[in-house]
Amino acid sequence: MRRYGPWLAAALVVVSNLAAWRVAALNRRGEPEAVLVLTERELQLPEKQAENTALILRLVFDRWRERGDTVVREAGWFDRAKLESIGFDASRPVTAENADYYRTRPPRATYVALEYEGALWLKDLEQARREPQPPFSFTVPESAVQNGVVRLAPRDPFLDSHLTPIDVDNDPAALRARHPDTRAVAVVEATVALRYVGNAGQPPFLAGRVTSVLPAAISVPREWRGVLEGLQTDAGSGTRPPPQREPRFRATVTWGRRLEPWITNVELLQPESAR
Amino acid sequence: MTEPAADGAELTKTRAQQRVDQIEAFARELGELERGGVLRLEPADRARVDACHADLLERLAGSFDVDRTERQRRMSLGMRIASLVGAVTLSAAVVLFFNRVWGLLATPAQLAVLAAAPLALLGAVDVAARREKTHYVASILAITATAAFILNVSAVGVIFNMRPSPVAFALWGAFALVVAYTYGLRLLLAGGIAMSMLFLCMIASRAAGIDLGASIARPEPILPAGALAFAASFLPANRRRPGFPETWRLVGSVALLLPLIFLSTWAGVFSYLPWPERVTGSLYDAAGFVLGAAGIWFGIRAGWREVVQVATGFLVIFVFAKCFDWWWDWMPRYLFFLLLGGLAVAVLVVLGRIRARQRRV
Repeated sequence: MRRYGPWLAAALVVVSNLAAWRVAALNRRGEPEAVLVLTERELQLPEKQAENTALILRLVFDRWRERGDTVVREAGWFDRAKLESIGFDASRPVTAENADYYRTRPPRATYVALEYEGALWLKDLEQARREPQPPFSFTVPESAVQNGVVRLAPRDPFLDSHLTPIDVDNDPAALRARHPDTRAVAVVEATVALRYVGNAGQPPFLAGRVTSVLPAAISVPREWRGVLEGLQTDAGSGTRPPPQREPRFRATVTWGRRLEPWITNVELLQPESAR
Repeated sequence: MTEPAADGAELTKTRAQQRVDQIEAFARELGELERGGVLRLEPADRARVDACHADLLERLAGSFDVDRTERQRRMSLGMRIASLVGAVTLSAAVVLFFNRVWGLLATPAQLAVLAAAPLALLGAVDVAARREKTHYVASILAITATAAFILNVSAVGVIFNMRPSPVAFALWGAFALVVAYTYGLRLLLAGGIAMSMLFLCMIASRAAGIDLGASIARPEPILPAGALAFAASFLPANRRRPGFPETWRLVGSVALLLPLIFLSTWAGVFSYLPWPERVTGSLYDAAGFVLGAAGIWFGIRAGWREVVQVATGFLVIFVFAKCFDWWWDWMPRYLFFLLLGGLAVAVLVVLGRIRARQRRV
């Protein structure tokens, strides 16, 4: 072992690197799985950090965020049947006695269809126009948390992501077959959770929730860094710029055969007032 | 690394140190007996024994870098702590340096730097291991090389926006194990075993459709892995490496016992088993008591100190966890704590008896 051990360890390093490069090349070969043009709303720009020179955008999709004061009253498309279809055991009656059982189900790995500015997003937008805008920060009432899922605040079309989960399936091919528009819908791996919603005064129900997509971080290649670096704010400067009312850049994100994304273009957007 | 001892057994650093300690104890006791007038060796005999010991100590110190005095022992402990601190800080330096510069590099350069770092460090480990017998520097560099390889695989995943995969843990575990076996490094061995166990956990969770991040919350695959690790301590490849059987047994015992605390207390949350929670919980309750007691019993009989310590620690925590699980909700608080106090005294009595029996043996 003393003689060939170092060579074995070195071979492990070389082979694993070659394998990773090969897998990355395979992902990018052939027809892309999806190509979406997203903006700063969907691709969150991080603050500039002295200790980390990497530029990695975070893919933001619309989801139930625990910042609103409205309790969800219905499961929507991600209902009990859909939860069961991806492997959650929802066979027990949805009653308060089984609440602990449902609340302790582990999150599952599956695939989600993310649609950019689709019908669901438009429907929510219409609803948002009818509802009053929430203040920028407010806390979640304890009662809302206890009663179940806390719904997102009414949508802010300027600030919120236009990328919406619309369907889930354990088979990405089946998901793609149901949502064939590769210019509007990306199929990505995701983590989903089961939520038991107490729904005070009404029958409780189960609702699914997409908690994260994988990968959620998309690194920006060096050729596009220059475009975005000027938009970054300094971390720890103590002053925060006012929230952006409109996106400052758009980027083309391509998902490959292994459902792994990469950035193929970045361009700055002119502010509305300057146009 | 090894040479035959006088009794024919293969002499390792551990055995050499034991022999040195034995000689030191013998010399001290002989001095006491002589001062008390109980025994007085003839000057010629005494000179022969002293010469034999001096020669043996010289040879052992030359071959194994053993500690000959209490002061040397304290220094060795200090060096071990310093090497651990050195390994952690050097690893942090490698990771933070890459974070600092990778945005300045084009993708091919990033990939080249990432792959070159563990390879260069591996070369440094080999050079250090050839130059010093103690392997303190080699162990620092080996841990840093492992950290560089972990960074390599993780950062390549980030650069190519890859989905997380359990395979990364298999690669890290394999690398740590290869380096540990090559240079006889126990800390890296423990790390390699732990990463391999995490890999098994992730494979099981992926097969069950559970999110990888939640895989450690389903620790059942670690139980058979712990039993296998325990069994691996008997393999010849481990028995001929100093400290390896103890490390395998230590990690195996922890892996076999620690998950039982969670599985028995919250079976509905942590178990894969489809049976009713009460059945699964009772099964793991029984397993916890039986395996904990068996660990202490076998550990004492076989002289496996690390197993006795792990099993005793586990059993104490397990008993208290079960008391909380069974009684907290319905028992008055004063009675609960009174009972725990009584249990602590009972544990002391039992352990005291075991200790007394060991003394008699």
